[in-house]
Amino acid sequence: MVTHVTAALLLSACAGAPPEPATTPSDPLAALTRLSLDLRGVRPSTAELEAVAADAQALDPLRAAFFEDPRLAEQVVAGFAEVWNTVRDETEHPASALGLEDEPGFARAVGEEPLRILAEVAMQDLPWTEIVTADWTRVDAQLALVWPVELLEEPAADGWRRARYTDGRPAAGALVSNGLWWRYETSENNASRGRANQLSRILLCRDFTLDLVAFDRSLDLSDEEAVRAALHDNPGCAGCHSTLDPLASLLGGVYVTRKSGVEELLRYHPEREGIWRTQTGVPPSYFGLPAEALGDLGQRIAADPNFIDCAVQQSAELLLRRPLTLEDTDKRTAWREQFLDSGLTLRSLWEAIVRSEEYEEGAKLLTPALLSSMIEDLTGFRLLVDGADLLRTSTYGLATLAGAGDGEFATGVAQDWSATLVLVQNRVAEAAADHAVRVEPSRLLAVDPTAELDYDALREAIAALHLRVLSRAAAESELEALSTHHAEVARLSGSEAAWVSVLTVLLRDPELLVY
Amino acid sequence: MSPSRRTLLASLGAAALGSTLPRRARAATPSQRRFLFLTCFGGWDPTRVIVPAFGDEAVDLEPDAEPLTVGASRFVDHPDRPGTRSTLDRWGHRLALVHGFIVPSVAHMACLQLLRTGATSGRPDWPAILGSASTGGEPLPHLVISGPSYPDALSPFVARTGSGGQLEALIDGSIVGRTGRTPPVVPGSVRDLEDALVAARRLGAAQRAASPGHRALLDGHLSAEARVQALQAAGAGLRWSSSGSFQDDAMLAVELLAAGICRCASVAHPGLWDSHSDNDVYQSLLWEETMIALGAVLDAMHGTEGPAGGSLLDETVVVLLSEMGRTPLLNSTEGKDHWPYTSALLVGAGVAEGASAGAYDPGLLGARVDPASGLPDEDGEVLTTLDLGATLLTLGDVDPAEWAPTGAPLQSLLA
Repeated sequence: MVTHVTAALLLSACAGAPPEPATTPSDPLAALTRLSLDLRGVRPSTAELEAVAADAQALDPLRAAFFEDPRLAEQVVAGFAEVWNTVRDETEHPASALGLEDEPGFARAVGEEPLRILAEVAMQDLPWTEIVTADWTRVDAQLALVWPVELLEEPAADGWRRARYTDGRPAAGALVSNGLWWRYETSENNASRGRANQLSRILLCRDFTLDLVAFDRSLDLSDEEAVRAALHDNPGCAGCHSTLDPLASLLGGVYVTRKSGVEELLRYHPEREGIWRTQTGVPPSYFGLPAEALGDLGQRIAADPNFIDCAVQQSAELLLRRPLTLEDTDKRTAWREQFLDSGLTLRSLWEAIVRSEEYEEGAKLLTPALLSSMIEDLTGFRLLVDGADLLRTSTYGLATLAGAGDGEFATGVAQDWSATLVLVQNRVAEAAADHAVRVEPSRLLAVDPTAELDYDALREAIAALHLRVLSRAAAESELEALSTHHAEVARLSGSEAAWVSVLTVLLRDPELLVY
Repeated sequence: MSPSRRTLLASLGAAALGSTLPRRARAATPSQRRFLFLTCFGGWDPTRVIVPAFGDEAVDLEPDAEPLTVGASRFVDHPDRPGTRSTLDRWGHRLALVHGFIVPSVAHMACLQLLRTGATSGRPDWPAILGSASTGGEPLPHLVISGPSYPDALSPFVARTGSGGQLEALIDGSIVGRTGRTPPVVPGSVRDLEDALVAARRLGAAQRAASPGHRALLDGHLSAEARVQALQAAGAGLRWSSSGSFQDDAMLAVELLAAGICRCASVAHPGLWDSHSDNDVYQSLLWEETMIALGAVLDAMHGTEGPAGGSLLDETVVVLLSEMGRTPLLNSTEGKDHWPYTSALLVGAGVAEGASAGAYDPGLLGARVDPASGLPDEDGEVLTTLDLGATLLTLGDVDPAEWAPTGAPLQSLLA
């Protein structure tokens, strides 16, 4: 059996880089905020801010604590969702076809299934290779009802738990999750090539479709047999197909088409593992190495150094919010070594990245998912319709308008402001402020919002609010401006409305989304 | 003219064919031109309507298809598609066609990105570029009604309406009401105070910004906020959502183009054109629906005043395209598979009426052509998506050298 140890050995020639000491941040509160948002999805608490403001060294234990926080799992799910693109608002077969009622919840659960495997591997400090070799999956309450699985444990606080498919599918982690293949369909004509490319893109960072195809005009493209032969014989075709087709041939067990019934989509099909004979016509293999079915594919991927490099690249790009370049080569190597030295635990890899100078550089814009979790943590408000978070859905929600990537057309997360993001922030700010002050006043405010306060008490309360919401102490001029604003609105609409307005201003502040 | 007045005119577009609007009296300058991108995703079979491959034995045509000549252009007519015939009768003389350009991939998503950006990754699409270059002050330079968009680094210039009226609900504040909560009512005087304070705080933040990147993001907020202000001023009373049909999405785009909300609008046909089986059935239905919608759009644009004061059609380039073509011959399931050579249709501002560029060799292979004349030339090159892109950018007064460096504007298409 090939394990992460094998992968480590394959890369041992480059080993030896020691863990990098954390850099001393030039702005400890900004560094704390970035860590807290990236690792927990929320801004730091007032106590955490005050601790770091008093002593920048307090950042180290807080960073360590953030890596133990269960909310890290949600950040792993949200981050890799941008890569896997499995989460959609709808599924080909609706929940109702399976006797379920929560359509958006079911669609989200289906798409999250493979991502929850990743999160579990990360949070349990299992070797990252488990994502393609595990003999278990993760299911929520809805998937538990309809997937052919046995439940292995009680649900965790997030509602998800381990389960094992009982339909004979091999142990291959996310590779054999229904959620992956419900997202990426195939057809008889495509013969799983598109699926094979998705595996390559997601797990090896090698997207065959980025290559331009040099069509040979002497080839009769209208002749199906000639085309089939050219896939192996013609240099312009074989360049990709010689490796892509054997990968596709490994996917027979999960072969279903758009026209298949929902029952077919639920189950693995061991009887189809040999379907490649009538589809690609190419025996299965993994880049020239022997492999016969999906279980072998998981083992081969786990042993592939490109799989390790790809995890490093994806993690770094998610945390830095920029593509890696040649200038990052040394750092990338160091991160990989730390990943290997840790036994391929994702938390170690992420820790190596967030302790680097590169992580401290530049500025990032909150994703809509982060905006949602941050606002909920601050104010208790969520933009929910029928249980669906509008900041996390696109078809009926605001995710794409707020800059989320489009899972259908594989566009990335926006890295800059758009008019619609400003509109989203403004509307969310108004509603969240209204909720926080009128419904849950003790959550954010140190005072009764309906009470008349003297000037000093007002300034003190505003200062505390500013620190909590924007993660930095307000300057004297800011306190003055906010206090004056409070007084003016209170004169027009009363004290409670004044607090709503002050909080609205803070939640509309562009600094809230730039971190 | 107020936006609502323009909207009314747009809604009356079909009837306005005989109106007294100063059609084509005041042509927009290239920098004023607008663009409507209509995309048919899945790969169309152009031989159903716009590629009359009669006489080519290597191409399977429909049994009852007949050649149709309108003006200088040749099309395909079929008794099952009377709506298509009607649109071609009315507008065929103005349509310009690009034939036989290559989209060098066989994967839908890669082809779509190639079609709209000229590359498989890392570039913004033509409407985002054209929108970003706008000098018209539109609040949403490229507005996506439906379908794909590749903004890349130009995301500040791109917005979506959302398929369920989300943008409208954001503009009027009703989005919060969808949650079952009563949307907060903020008096105008309070909102003015908040706006002023947010602006002052943004200025302070920019002065404190620790890095150029941080400062750039804060500047980006300023630009976006300005667009929001313009949008809220111009957007009141406009229709922002549609029934979701191709025609209604396209008509919504026409209204928003006419109102000066956007320089570019993108609409995608909601159907999947990927006819690996039963090609003739699916393609015929989809083409008929598309051409009826195109006719309605052109009627409406012809009868609608554009922001520059002329007919909206004379201020707007309408582009109809699909990310790939389909194989010349039917396969064993009566379908047609992916084909790297395809065609596109252009009409409107700056587009030469009835012009064409490119051609097909037998078997629907893209012919080598002289890009200047668009005529077959054995010493020429097969047209590419970059040539199409360079043409669109040129029509919009954008130098193609930066975004489509190896593309050549197709001079024969330029009026």
